[in-house]
Amino acid sequence: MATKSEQLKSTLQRLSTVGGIKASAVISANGLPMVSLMPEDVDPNTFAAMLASMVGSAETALKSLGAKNTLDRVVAESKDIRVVAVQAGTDAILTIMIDPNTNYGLILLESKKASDEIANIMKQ
Amino acid sequence: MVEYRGLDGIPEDVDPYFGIAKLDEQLKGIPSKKIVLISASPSVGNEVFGYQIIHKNIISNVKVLVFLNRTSPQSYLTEMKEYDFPSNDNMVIIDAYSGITGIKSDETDHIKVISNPYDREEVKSKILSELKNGYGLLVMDSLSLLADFFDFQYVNSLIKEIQKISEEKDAAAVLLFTDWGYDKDNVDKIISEVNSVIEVKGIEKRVIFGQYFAVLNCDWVKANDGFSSVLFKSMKPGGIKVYFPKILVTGPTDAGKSSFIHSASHNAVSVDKLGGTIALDHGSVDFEGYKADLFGTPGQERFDPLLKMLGGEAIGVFLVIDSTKPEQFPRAIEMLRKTETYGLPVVVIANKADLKGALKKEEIRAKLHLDSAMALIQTFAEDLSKVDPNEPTKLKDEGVHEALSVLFKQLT
Repeated sequence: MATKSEQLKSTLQRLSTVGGIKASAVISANGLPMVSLMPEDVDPNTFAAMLASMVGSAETALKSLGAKNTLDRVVAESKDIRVVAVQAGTDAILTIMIDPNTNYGLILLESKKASDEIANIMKQ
Repeated sequence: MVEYRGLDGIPEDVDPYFGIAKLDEQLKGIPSKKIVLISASPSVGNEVFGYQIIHKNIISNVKVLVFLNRTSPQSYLTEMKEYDFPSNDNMVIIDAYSGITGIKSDETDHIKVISNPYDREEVKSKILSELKNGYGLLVMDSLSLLADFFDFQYVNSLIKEIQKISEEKDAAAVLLFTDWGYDKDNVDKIISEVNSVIEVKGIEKRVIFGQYFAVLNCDWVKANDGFSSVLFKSMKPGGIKVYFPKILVTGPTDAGKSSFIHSASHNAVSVDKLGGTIALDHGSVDFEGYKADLFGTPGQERFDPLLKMLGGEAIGVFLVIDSTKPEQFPRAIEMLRKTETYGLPVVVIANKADLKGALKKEEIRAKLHLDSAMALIQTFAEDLSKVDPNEPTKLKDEGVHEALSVLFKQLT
């Protein structure tokens, strides 16, 4: 039986075969990195902390506006990088860094699938 | 406790043998005549322990003999260098690898070659005869490969012989072992031969994914309630560091949380607008063999909804307060409550202790209703004239370091 981190890693590896995904990571809702496929010059600890705080802030903002459902995803864009953070169950967040000039719809679809997988792995 | 002889023979001056924080504290080094087994699960790996132990000892002028059958001496030395552990004249390698691959390896002063690594007797006699030449430490990388090559009976008898020579020559040994799912009886037999076993494993506790080491047993140090397991991270360069994944830094507005994080860490990042933190600060601390990630909260009340998220999974807290503003103290305690970290080890940092009107330590204690056991440490700006209200201030190292070491001690 593969360990949780091995399972999470293989989910990320499968996701990374989708064109345009440059890096991905599973982080905890509290900002700790669990597994990551990242370029070497990116510090996963800082990245995880920042992304989790983005998601946390966005969630709080939505709630204060009266949102009834939980947050699905947060997107941050610049001309050269787009970062998407997708909720994966209650404990985990899937984050991916993508090239903005690619098939965004496909990536969102695939990342939704991957986040469901991650939520299941975390429940084990 | 068994008498421990430091490397320089002065019992009070205990020189670490492991060179790994916490391990030296728990075991007081490796006394001579003792054999330590470092047993790792395959997903984690123990080779960095080997590099670090070798390096620590060769720079302390202990002669180290390395039996190597996992890789070639050249790539072993290159790998060590990548961790910032360069070798020196005190290190001698027995090469039992090149013979397997058929690459010719030349014998030098620092590399002894086993010409036929498939020959049980040659392997054994080479290790034992070389060990008699006055080494302080033998490191074997790896024992499990040797067991794969021959069998466990061979390995057991080899350990016995090493023990004998260690007794005569006052040497110690560290054996690196990776448990690839061997028969439990065989592993238990090896464990019964050695003086101490250190286990290296992966951990998956809720959302903490990491690696830990733990002393399973040790016959020269008595630990009544066992040894605690220690989370670590293997850094390149830097080697094995005791690791704390999340330490929270909280406290009222403008107390100096960001200043503390920036002064303590080498790569701090802040999310702030006009001097005040609005989401969080993050920084990695690398201090005396320990590594920790600091998470700083905003201090202003309007960000309180975020505090609970930031406090989750934290294992220790720095509570930063402004020594000149006792009116903020109730807020400080409230923040501890809101981050849901009440009950964790807390170190109170009384910042701005050099400013006019700063309260004395006892006054702060009384006003905060601090338990006498709780640590309170004062910090000061390095240079008051350089303080810019829109930038984190550099704090004096002494207070920052004292705070770090006090909390780290409480955490392990």
